[in-house]
Amino acid sequence: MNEPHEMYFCRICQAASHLEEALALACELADSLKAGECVPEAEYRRRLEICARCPRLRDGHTCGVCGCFVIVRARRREMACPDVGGERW
Amino acid sequence: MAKLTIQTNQPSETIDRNIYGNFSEHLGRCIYEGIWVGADSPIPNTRGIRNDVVAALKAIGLPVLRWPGGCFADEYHWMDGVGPRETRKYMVNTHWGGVIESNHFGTHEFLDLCAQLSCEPYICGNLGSGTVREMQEWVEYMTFDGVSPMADLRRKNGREQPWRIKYFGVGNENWGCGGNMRPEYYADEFRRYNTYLRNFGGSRLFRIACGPSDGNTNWTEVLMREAGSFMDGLSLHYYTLPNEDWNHKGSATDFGETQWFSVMRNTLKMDEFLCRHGEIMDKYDPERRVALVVDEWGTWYDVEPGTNPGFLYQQNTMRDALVAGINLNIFNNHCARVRMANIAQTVNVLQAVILTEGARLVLTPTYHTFGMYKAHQGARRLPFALDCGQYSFGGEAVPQLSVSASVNEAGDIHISVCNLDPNRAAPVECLLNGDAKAQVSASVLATSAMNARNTFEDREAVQPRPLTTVKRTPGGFKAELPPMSVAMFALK
Repeated sequence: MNEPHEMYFCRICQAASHLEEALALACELADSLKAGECVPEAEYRRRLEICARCPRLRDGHTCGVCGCFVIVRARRREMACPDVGGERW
Repeated sequence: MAKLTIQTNQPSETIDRNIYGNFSEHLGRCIYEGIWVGADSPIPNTRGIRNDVVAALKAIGLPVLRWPGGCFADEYHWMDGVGPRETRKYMVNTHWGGVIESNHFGTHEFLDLCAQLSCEPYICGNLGSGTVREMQEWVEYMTFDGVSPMADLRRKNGREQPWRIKYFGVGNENWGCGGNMRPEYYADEFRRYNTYLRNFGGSRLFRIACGPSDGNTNWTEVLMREAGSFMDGLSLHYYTLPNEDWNHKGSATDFGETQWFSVMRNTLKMDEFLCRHGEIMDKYDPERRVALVVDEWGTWYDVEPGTNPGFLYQQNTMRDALVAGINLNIFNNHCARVRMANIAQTVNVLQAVILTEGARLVLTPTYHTFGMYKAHQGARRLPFALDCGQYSFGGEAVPQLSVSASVNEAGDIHISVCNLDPNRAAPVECLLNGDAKAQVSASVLATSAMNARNTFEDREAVQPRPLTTVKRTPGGFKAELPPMSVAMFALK
């Protein structure tokens, strides 16, 4: 006895539909980092300005080198710009 | 104590080395960044392809690589990816993370990668949004050695000799992202497209039809009934999720025993699916001429926090090493029908064997399982009997051990054993019924934490090491496997 054909679930649509939700979560994550995990605000702004001019930035929010949302990565003290040879911050 | 009896004098079918294949898609940072960096990159490369990634994949004996997708395949127009790179079309890969698709990695670059890896290419054609002519001309472009518009174009683009292409997929997931087709419709489409895929020169294409996902046996039934005699292989896709909820799959690294157990239980379903689809295939193809090709498998978690969900970037822990070991054991034990499998995906996407960030590279626990299991490639399966206890959790239970065994041409025996229980060691007594060489040795991948992993800061936290508990006995050997471990025993 065969199963009835199941309704297809699109994994692509599922991933794409989560972009806004993921961005919101990334904002929350960036805001929730403890003081010791963050760079000072001025350094954070400097990093984001560099990212904004970077040719590897995708859609204004994603680093094409590592796939991170830059608002999170740039805030973390232990993180560096992942671009090889051209570490920008 | 678990008892494992290996029939060393009854070698069975050959374990096709292509079971140890990979899948690489234009998705997130798999191709771009993970494999292709371009010839001008400061990252050491050969004609634009990362040297470190090639060396790592060669070390595990990668036999076959599937490309360009995945869902991407049914939107890929191969002509966009040939000719001078500076004139190739730029576009946005809207489905997967909005990355720029420069088309700099196309047919020539992929086949150069396969040549550098000494592996077989497995190309998936566009049935969903392409045309018969487009697919026909791609095959002609790559494999025709005479005079024709496509062969001439290939020569103009710098490649005089045709490539030898064997594995060709006629569409991908055509029940979903490849066109939302019914099996009856796809079966006819497969027959039509397949008609025009010519065998040029001395090559003969191994034609792989889109198969089912998970337990959709109706798709298998219809395809085998309507098109089984036209195909050489039928694909199967099955992903392991902790929560079986695509909106809340679960974390790759932040999990407890509930998610450990659910991943073990869910990944073992691969065996059930192979049995169910295999029974249908046996009905239409009792000689087992048509291969079952598991060309997408592995774990699928929520992406790493703070990363773009379209990139499908996830870390990889000891749990993933177990998933790899269990599935490879299942494939080995079904090798009469399963003759290729391709873990998703090679670099930076899903259950990757390699992670990269800029110039840095990490080999995942999954990579090490593939390295340890390399000894099974091309060897002959050995039947066995296993009497082991259960790993119980939350009122459910699965077998504590997963096993496969093989003998190679030199008579060396290899036995891979996974201990699924994260709390209990597994004493094992192995009896060898038949001839076996005298020296036994073993390596093991084991950690003290379920979520142990290799990172860019600590690249060697999870590494294979010798298993010192193994002792040869008159009839075989004894050993104790640590909790949550993958072990490989060798009798040489």
